[in-house]
Amino acid sequence: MKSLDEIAKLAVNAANQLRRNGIRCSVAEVIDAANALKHIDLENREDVLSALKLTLAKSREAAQMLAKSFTKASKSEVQVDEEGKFKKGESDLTFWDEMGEASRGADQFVFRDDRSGKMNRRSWFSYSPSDVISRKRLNPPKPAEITEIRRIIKRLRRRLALMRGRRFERDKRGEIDVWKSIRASYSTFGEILKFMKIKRKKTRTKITLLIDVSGSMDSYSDWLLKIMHTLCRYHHNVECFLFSTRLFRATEILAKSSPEQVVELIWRWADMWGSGTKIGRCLMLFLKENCGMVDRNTTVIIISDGWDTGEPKLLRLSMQKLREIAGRIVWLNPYADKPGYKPLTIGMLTALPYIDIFAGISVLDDLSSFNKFFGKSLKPLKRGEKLGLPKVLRKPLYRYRLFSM
Amino acid sequence: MEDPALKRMTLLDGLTIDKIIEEMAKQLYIADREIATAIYLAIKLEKPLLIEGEPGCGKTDIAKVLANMLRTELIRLQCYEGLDSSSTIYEWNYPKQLLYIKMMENRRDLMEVEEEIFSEKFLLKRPLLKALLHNGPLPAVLLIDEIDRADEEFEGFLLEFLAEFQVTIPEIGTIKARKKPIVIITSNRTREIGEGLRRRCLYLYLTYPPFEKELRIVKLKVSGISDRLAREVIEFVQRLRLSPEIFKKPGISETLDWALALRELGVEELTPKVVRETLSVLLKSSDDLKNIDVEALLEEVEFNIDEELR
Repeated sequence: MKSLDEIAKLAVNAANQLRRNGIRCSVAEVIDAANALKHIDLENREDVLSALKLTLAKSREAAQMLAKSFTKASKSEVQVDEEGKFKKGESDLTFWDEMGEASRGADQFVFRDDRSGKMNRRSWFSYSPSDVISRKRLNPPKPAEITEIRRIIKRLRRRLALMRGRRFERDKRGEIDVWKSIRASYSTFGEILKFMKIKRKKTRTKITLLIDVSGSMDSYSDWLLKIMHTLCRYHHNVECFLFSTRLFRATEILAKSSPEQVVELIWRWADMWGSGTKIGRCLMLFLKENCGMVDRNTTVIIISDGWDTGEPKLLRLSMQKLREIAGRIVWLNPYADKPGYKPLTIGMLTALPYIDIFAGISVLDDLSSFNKFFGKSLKPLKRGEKLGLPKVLRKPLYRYRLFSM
Repeated sequence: MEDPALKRMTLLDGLTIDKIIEEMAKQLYIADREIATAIYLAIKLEKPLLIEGEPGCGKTDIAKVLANMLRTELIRLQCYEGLDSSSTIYEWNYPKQLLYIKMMENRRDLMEVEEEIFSEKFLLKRPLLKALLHNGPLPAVLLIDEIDRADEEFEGFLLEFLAEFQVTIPEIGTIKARKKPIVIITSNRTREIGEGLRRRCLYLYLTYPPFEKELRIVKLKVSGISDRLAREVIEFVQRLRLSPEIFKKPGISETLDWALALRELGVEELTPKVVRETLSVLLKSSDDLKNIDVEALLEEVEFNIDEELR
């Protein structure tokens, strides 16, 4: 039987673990966790983890993170015991000696040298995803940049609006608004000279962002981070997924952390930066697991260069499905606005027939580029209105599409 | 003879996680330890339990089984877009009130009539109020189903209800729960549930069960099914869920429907013809039906089953 102190410590440690990983945990939840732990058998690890998950982790991703940390913690406890054994027996130095000089390199490890009785530090080579990440130069977005991106996104959501909401706007071809017409007639002494007409205003679209973080998109990491963070942190109804060969839902981390924290957390959890790309497989996974999040009021924005090492059939199937359920599909390709660009990659050729708006990544760089591409108007695009394919590309593209089918 | 009410009370008092698993199995629900812990803590901590997960994984069934297990009332609130407080808490019975006023027009003092028409007699109780006023020996089970379909405003309104378990009716006053109901909230994750609501609930994510658990469920719910057919059905469904070409993965309820259909048809073994004829019970989208390669899947299934049985 553990004491109340130990129970409280267990709950607080688990909450801190989640907080370190960007998941918010309130004091009330920690109290709940401690109360829950009082009711279960603390010797049963499975029950303890279940209780902590139920009370502290309020999403699937958070629950997975907690389970991962919990398993790691249990393993490290076992390792402590293992270390204890080293004290009595021989030093582990001999093992590293046997590994030879080749095993020593950039990274370091700490070990106890039993011959001298001191702790030593030694370096060795190994593959480490965290090392790859740490070599990336990432800058958190500046406040001025955030303000600019927020303005662009606000316009984008209005411009890509799809569904009509509760509010009304004036429209020449709308229905007659009796009250507005009467109110307007006051200026002509109650004589109605003109009927005021209104229609329902289109609401801002829901956005689902799918961002390619594979090796070929490496140079855009900084920019992508700014967009992701601003979207999730300051806007409602936004979902953000990262993909390369796997899919990772980053909304929670991005929405709840400061720019500086985001840089650290996003690299830690989405350990797939700089790898290959399987767009079709990831889209399929997205549709299978999060299909419910996409509806006719959702604009799916895919940011990728279209370099796909997966099966084109999978990509075609998933794009087809996405086309059916989503309101609009926007594909931002970093190379699309470069002179002489032709969408010749298999991924791009397969996806093009299902895309509504195809543009270069620079349309979201600043407001002037945005206006240049989408037009200055704040009015929503008409249904079926396509944007983004330069006139020069339109004709040859037809050939490419036929080729890709 | 033992009093059933007393038996129920003792069940709640001496509740353990193992006992929940056992009692739920009696109600034909195979619960793993995580589900049982969630129910146990929801009862002990008197906190609502928010269950998210894939459609057809048995989220709603948890509430039904729990109510059956405790032999208490199940009060269900099905959420939809535009759901408001009048259809969830209370409404005044206007026709009855008007009729009463007409009847009492010349007989009583008007003030007295006014007081009477705004009393509990003229109140139409909706699910949330019903759950608060439940008068049984055990608390009612309140199921708020598919909360993700309701508007965000309704979610905001629920916050107060779930925190205090009370509602305020201006004409009558504040009504507090006689016994805090056991609240189960389900969501299919079609939209993200607000942070506030999540914080007030215990959270459980349900996903598709592993082979052995699903086999137990099928054998329990579809009586008379042969072991081989049950294994084949589940192996087929599990492979279908992994298949990249299938978008709408079949849930446990679809597996059970399919197994029942096969049993009714007197099928002893899966063949490509039988599967093609009955597949519409399992897959509910024309694209999925078109994309599936029945022969290839069946070959794999048969190979695996033979390996297992050997």
